[in-house]
Amino acid sequence: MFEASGVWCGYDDIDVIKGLDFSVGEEVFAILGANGAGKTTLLSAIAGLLPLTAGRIRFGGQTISGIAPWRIAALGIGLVPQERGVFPDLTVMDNLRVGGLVAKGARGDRIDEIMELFPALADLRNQRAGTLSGGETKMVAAGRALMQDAKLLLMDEPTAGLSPLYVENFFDRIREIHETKQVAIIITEQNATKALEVADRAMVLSLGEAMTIVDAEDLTTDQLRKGYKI
Amino acid sequence: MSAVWDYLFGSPAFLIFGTYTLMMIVGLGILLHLQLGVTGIGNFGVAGFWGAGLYTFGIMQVTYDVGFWLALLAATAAGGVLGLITGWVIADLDDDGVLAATLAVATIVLLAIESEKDITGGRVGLGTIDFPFDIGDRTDLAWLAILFGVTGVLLWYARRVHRSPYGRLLIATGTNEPLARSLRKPVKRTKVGVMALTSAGMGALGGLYGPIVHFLFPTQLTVAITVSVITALVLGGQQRPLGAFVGAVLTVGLFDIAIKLYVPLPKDLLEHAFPVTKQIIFGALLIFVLLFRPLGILGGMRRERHVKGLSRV
Repeated sequence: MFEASGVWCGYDDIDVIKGLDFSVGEEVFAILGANGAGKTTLLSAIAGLLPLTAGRIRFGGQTISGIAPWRIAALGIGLVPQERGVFPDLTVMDNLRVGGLVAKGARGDRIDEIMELFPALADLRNQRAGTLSGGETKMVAAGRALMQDAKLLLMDEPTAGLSPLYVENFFDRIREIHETKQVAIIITEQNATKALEVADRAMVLSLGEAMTIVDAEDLTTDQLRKGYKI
Repeated sequence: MSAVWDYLFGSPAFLIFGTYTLMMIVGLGILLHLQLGVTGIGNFGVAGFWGAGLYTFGIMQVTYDVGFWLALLAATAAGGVLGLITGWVIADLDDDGVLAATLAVATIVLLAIESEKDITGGRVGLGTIDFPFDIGDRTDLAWLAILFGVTGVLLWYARRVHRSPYGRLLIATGTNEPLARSLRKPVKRTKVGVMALTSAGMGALGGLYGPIVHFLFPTQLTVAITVSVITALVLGGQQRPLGAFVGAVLTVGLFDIAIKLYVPLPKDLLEHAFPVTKQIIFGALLIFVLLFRPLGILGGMRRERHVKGLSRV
């Protein structure tokens, strides 16, 4: 479904991602790593928001590196950024609607599905997204990305800054999204324990390089420590 | 009663001209609302797009003796094309860059009009432009009614945009452009499109202003127009369609109608010190509002009014 080969990218003259090779199938794929490992940069590059300096990214049999972000979104890649993941002046409903702006199919049905997935949003639908709590904001951001008919969801540290109760609930929802909607998910996380509970496979990223890529259940503490440089 | 009537409407020509100015600022303010308040494009060159329309209309009418409707169409096209080009240039700039670039566009328009004397008449001026119809004493009033109608249509359109999927896309672009870039619509094309459309509206308003002043001079296109529009919009509420109207009534309405007509200022003061003082007060007002009430008198968007429930998507 998704394949990155020899991917290099970064900012100005600094290479943040250094020659990454990995592929993702119909699964939940966790990218783990400490601050500065390059997780956010990698997701930005996949979404087309950051150009590659070398390498190639393919999705659904098509090369997507070098094409405009909106075309990548139209192919079915939805991004849930770590910060500023909603449109603050729009209501919750409008955030979902703008996500499904040109998606095929009945938007109403899809909004109902999102509300079933995140029931807390139903009571907040007329509230401006800029006034929501951190957890509610993350739900809206994920819902908005799902409205885009996403086949692959890129979730950048979706539980960062959330209370433990929200974190537990949110990881349950991530698994549910994958299983009920057949959406592949690439999730970056610092909370390795929780991420590994929902992921099928994981990659440990350290300073832009893949330290290891294994089945989530096979990832050892030593491999994690090496990646996190503990 | 008669004395009150005479006091209020004793100078109908001044009152009508003041109301023309008010309507012009309201119309431009509504269009700027769509650019700045909705899409986040800080256009500091309103006078340029308006002036391009005004002078295109004048040149078509005076130099080429073209009829009213064709001249108005040309004025609209001039504003639109200028907006299209400007939109393309500024689409990837940051906020500071957009302000500087749009101000530069207005300056280029002004300098072009001043220097291309053969076409525009330069500082000597271009005229005469007449109303497209003549119904005697009531022509002024009829034109004012038309301006009211045009402003009403613009207000209706702005409110409609707020409720539409297109409006949601514009608001999304204006409030969080990095995220909007990951939506399934091209942000750059969206910004260029809104810039072209609203600038075309500014050009059309410029064309409609031609018959009011009869003679065109470059001094009509100074930054004072832009400052008046921005002050009105920011004071009233840049995120609300009615913001420009409320702000314009409190600024232009106060200075260009109420004080000019009803406060017995000495003529010398009215002609020289008054316009400068007005600009100083507008500038101070702008700073005050941005510091203490950045969303203006009407406040932020009321999106919840546009959400009727789950079934209406």
